[in-house]
Formats: sequence, C-alpha cells, structure tokens
Amino acid sequence: MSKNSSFLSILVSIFVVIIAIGRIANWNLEDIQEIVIDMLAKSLMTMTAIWLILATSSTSILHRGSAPRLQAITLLFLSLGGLGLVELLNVGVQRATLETITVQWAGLIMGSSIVLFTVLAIVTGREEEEEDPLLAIDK
Amino acid sequence: MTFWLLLYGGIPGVLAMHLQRKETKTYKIATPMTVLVLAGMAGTANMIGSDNNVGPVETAEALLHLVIPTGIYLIGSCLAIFGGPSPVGAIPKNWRRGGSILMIIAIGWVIMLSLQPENLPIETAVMNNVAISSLLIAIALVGAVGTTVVLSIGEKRWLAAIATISLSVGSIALLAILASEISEEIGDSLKSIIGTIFGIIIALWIAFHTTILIEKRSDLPKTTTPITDEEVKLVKHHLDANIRGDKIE
Repeated sequence: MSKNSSFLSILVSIFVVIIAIGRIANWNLEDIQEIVIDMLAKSLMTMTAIWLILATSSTSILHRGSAPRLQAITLLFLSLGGLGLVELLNVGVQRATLETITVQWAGLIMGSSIVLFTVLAIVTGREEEEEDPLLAIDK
Repeated sequence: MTFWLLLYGGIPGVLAMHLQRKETKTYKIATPMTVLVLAGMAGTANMIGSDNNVGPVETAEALLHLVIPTGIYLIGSCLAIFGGPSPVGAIPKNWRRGGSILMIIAIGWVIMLSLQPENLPIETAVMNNVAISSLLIAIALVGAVGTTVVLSIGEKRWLAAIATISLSVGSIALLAILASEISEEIGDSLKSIIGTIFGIIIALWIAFHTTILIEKRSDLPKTTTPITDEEVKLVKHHLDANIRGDKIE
C-alpha cells in the first residue's frame, strides 16, 4: 500500500470509530459548535500541560549556553498563553476539569499501550520456533 | 491549582534535576527539591469531598483502578514478548503461554470494571465512569489505527490485525452496553481524547520549531577547544594500531 493510501485509510478508520462512539454518546449535529469549542479547550489544556512539562524538564538537560534558559522561559510563556486562550473561550479551568482530564489522559496512555503491546506480543510470538543459534550452542 | 502545578511542573522538573551529571549543583539539590515537591503535593491535596466529590485523592484512586488491569496486561505482554525459547534478562524462558493467560485475565478485569465494578474485590472508584470510558475509547481508537497500520505494512500479519480489531470492536461494544448509564462521560472522554491528540501534535510542533529558532541563534558553548596536531597524531596512531593492525612502537 502506498504512503498516501495508508494515511487515508488511517484517517478513515479514525473517523469511523469517532462516528460510532459519537452515536453511542448521543451526539447531535445541532450541538456541533459546543462540541468543537469543548475539544478546542481540551487541546489548549493539553498544549499548556505539554509546554509546562517541556519547560520544566527536557530543556534543562541540554547544555548549550543560554539557549535552554531562553527555551524554558519561552515555553513557560506559551504555557501561560494557552491558559489565557482557554479563558478566552469562556470555558475556564474549573477544579473538576483538571481531575477529569488527568484521568482521561491516563486512560488514553494506558489504552494506547495495551494496543501497542498486543501487537508486539503477537508479532514476536509468531517467531517461537526461531531460536538464537548462539544461545543454542550451550545446550 | 498549586497541586496541579506541582504535578505537571514540579515532578518533571525534579526528574530532570535527577538526570543531571553528578558533579553539578542542580543534581545536588535534586533530592531536597523532590522532597519539597512531594511535601507540597501532599499538603495541597486537600480538596476531598469538594466540588462534585472529585479531587486529587479521587483522581489517584481512579488511576490506581486503571493501573491494576493495565499493569497486569503489560507484564503479561512482556512475558509473551521476551519469554520465548531464548531468555531475555531476568525473564524466564518459555513463559509465552503464562504471559498470554495474564493478558486474558487483564481483559477480563477491564470487562468487570466496566460492567460490574461492584463485584470486584476492590471498592469502586468515585471517578470509575470517567476512567473506564476514556480507557475504552483509547483502545477503540488506537486499535482501529493499529489494525490499519498492521494491514498497510502487509507481510500477512493477520493475527495481529485480528487482535487489534477485536480489541477495538470489543471496546465499542462495551461502550454501547454502558451507553444508557454513562453517555455523558463517554461524550466528554471522546471530546477530551480528540482534543488531546490535536493538542499533542500542535504543542510538539510549536515546541520543536521554537527550539530550532532559539538554538539556531545561540552561540556554541566554549567548553571544547579545537583539536591539536598532537591529538591528531595520537588518534591516527591508535587507528593504525587497532584497525590496520600495525605494531605499536
């Protein structure tokens, strides 16, 4: 399969699953504006968290003059900007929002790792008969 | 808010401090800073029972309920991956079947957690509906993408494709069964997961380009001096001795 058609198939499969779960969740076309604004707010919160994590962690590992410090400050400002944009959307970060989104992020990570490890377990499990010839010498 | 700042800012920060070289000042203050951050988190996790009965403690409870089946599944899959005829590290050999059994037990646990959480040996978490709906949506979405990727690669990996599509369809079926009770949580989790995926892509793209922009304009640190003629001679000598097999004088 070519790269373009693979990408297209991935997009189609994502849309199919989203539509199926959207129907389960009783989503209506009339509520689309509200749904999109909510998604936008959630993506801004994600960006804020990612920039905060990057600002406080990875950039300090690099030792290249004053660049890491500048990067950390820039990312912190981006993070603050993200929070400001969430407020502009009139959604606001309420107490319960942070708790809920943390659990949802954890669910996303764990669900993704379950699928990834399933693929790895099955793909490697098929090569059961193959044995490392160097280790087999010991027998 | 302090708790969440410490969680998303403080914890990555102290982890990065622990990764510094041992002789640096940052590394030396890493342990006291970790204690301070953890103490701060413990001191600010005091929102129990307020605002819809959710707070850091309820979040931790829900995370623990998710970690149990996921942990069992990952341990099982590691045994299935590395427990083949050739042992890897401390993992015993010929443990693939045992790993597969653990994976099936974990799937059973997730089904129980979704349909009858009250029958599990642990008390149902306050945020169980949020946790389980996001886990199932993630499995459904990533499973569908995984199936497409596995099929696009080809090489007749039918078994892997069947497993991922089964996970995806099974999760959608569980969500459909739960729809009458928790449709609001399902909708909210779906919005969050779509928003999160977009957020991750855009945030990393912006962070990457910001880094390039800043790094391009920054001077190189003066920690190294140009290589001397003596050093060139020494390197050449070692290369001749070790690669060409010349005798060392």
